[in-house]
Amino acid sequence: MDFSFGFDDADDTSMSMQDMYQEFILETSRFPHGFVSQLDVSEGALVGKRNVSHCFVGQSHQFNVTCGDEVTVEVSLDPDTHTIQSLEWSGNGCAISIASLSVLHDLVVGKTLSEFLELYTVFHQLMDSRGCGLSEEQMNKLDDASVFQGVSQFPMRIKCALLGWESVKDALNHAE
Amino acid sequence: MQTIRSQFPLLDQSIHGKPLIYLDSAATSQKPQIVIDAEKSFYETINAGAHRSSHELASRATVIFERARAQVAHLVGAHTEPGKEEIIFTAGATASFNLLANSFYNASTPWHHSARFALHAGDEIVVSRAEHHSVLLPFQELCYKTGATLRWLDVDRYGSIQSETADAVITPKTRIVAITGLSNVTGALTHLEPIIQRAHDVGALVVLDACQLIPHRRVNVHQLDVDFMCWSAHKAYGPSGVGFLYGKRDLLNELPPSQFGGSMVEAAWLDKPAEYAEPPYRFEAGTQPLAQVASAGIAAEWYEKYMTPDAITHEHVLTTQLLAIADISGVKILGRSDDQDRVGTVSFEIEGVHPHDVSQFLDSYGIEIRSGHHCAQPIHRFFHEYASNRVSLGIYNTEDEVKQCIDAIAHVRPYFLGVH
Repeated sequence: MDFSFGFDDADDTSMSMQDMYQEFILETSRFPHGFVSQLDVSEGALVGKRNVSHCFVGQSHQFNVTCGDEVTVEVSLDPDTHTIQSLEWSGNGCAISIASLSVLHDLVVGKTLSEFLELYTVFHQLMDSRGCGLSEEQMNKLDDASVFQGVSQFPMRIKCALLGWESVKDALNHAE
Repeated sequence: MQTIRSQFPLLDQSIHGKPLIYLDSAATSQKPQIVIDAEKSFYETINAGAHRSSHELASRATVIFERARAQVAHLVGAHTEPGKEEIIFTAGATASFNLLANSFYNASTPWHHSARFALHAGDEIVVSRAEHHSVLLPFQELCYKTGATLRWLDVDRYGSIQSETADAVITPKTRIVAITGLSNVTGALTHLEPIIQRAHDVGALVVLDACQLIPHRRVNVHQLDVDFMCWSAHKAYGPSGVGFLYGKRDLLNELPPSQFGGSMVEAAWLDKPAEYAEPPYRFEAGTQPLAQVASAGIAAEWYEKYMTPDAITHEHVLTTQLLAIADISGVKILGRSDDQDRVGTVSFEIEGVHPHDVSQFLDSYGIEIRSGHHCAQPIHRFFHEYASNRVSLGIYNTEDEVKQCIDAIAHVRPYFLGVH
């Protein structure tokens, strides 16, 4: 009996780079939203304190050792309504991680903490979908973040799309 | 050329519907059919406890195991006569470096004390800024454990090791010089002679990292006069899971063991210290990767046959061709962009495009290259980069493959940045 590890390139035609690098992702990575050249990470920064609008500020620094992607995210959270008031980030990374941060910025500002956590869970489900995507209802919830469906076909790149999400979640933890 | 390439079955396949172009041989090389067959055949016909059981099968396994040692020794000009063996099998080059560093450490303890190798505060170990982590870290740890000081040879503006500074950096305090013969990032060949000469003038031992050198140049350990040399089988067309440590026999005779266990001991008791075996067995504790060692021996023989001056010339032609990527807008080579003192291992940055995106883009054309820091962070820091892209040639690559790679690289910036 001939043994095979089960990879056959003939079955591989569905896995296309264009599925991952959607034009929207490439455009967004060139001119990302929420990007600031530098965030104040000094001890005098407002982390864990209230800013002028009395919102709590949280920061998170994430680093991916394999590729060197590095991001610092700063969020502010309204303590009364639990609404994300602002999101800024600095750092560098690949087109996927940068576009994901930009999309996150547009998606989650104005959302409540629990709304963010629900999106966070749905986005993780999308990344676990092996390229298949989710129900129409869930894809609509993710809005622009649904364009990362193609990334879920590339196991090595899922962490790129998730970098921003993990950073924002961690930063919100620090703001709470 | 075709007679070499057609021996590599893996190369004859498509990736994402495109013919595979494998340009990541510095990470691991592909294997000729004979090397694959040797490993399979060992399992199908020979597999038994080499150097252990006394039945016929075990005796055949022992013959094959020791034949592999002789085949590897022959490739690098090491002694191979019984009682004079100079090749030790390890789990890989990283294991070889750790074995050595650990043996030096053991020599520094009262228990295994050996004045030839013992390190103390005030002693120095010299590496270079271009070292792979597998050289840097074991010897840095050895410094921390013994109180010795780590120093390093610096690099010139191309990232090449400045061997002309050997006299200043290597001093009578230096006990060990651990250095690469060929950088896995810049592809630069180290001028080893002045470094080895200076090290020996001051009484220091030379440990050569030959992981990248062996796949590109013939090396003779006695001509080079290195004291120890580490390399792996898998980068030189051999199997994964096997590495080598060469040591001058008189040094191996004195070097204390590194790992302890089965078949590295002559006599073991509960109530008194063991008497350890002679080299090379003293350094080969536990059951060895027998099928892989057998196949590594065949790989060494294969390599000796095909690594001809013609093969070196062929790679040089391809290297010169590949270096034309320096003319592509936004491409910056980490290292020399001319063909002087280098091989076809070429790392580069594409301005504005992350290495991960570059390698993914090339992958969609079936072109497999490396992205990352290649386990050499200090030299990347020198170039002010965290990561880079790396194209590395093997004995089987063709001019057409290099041409397609260059064409694909030229399309990277237009695709990601929308610029030309």
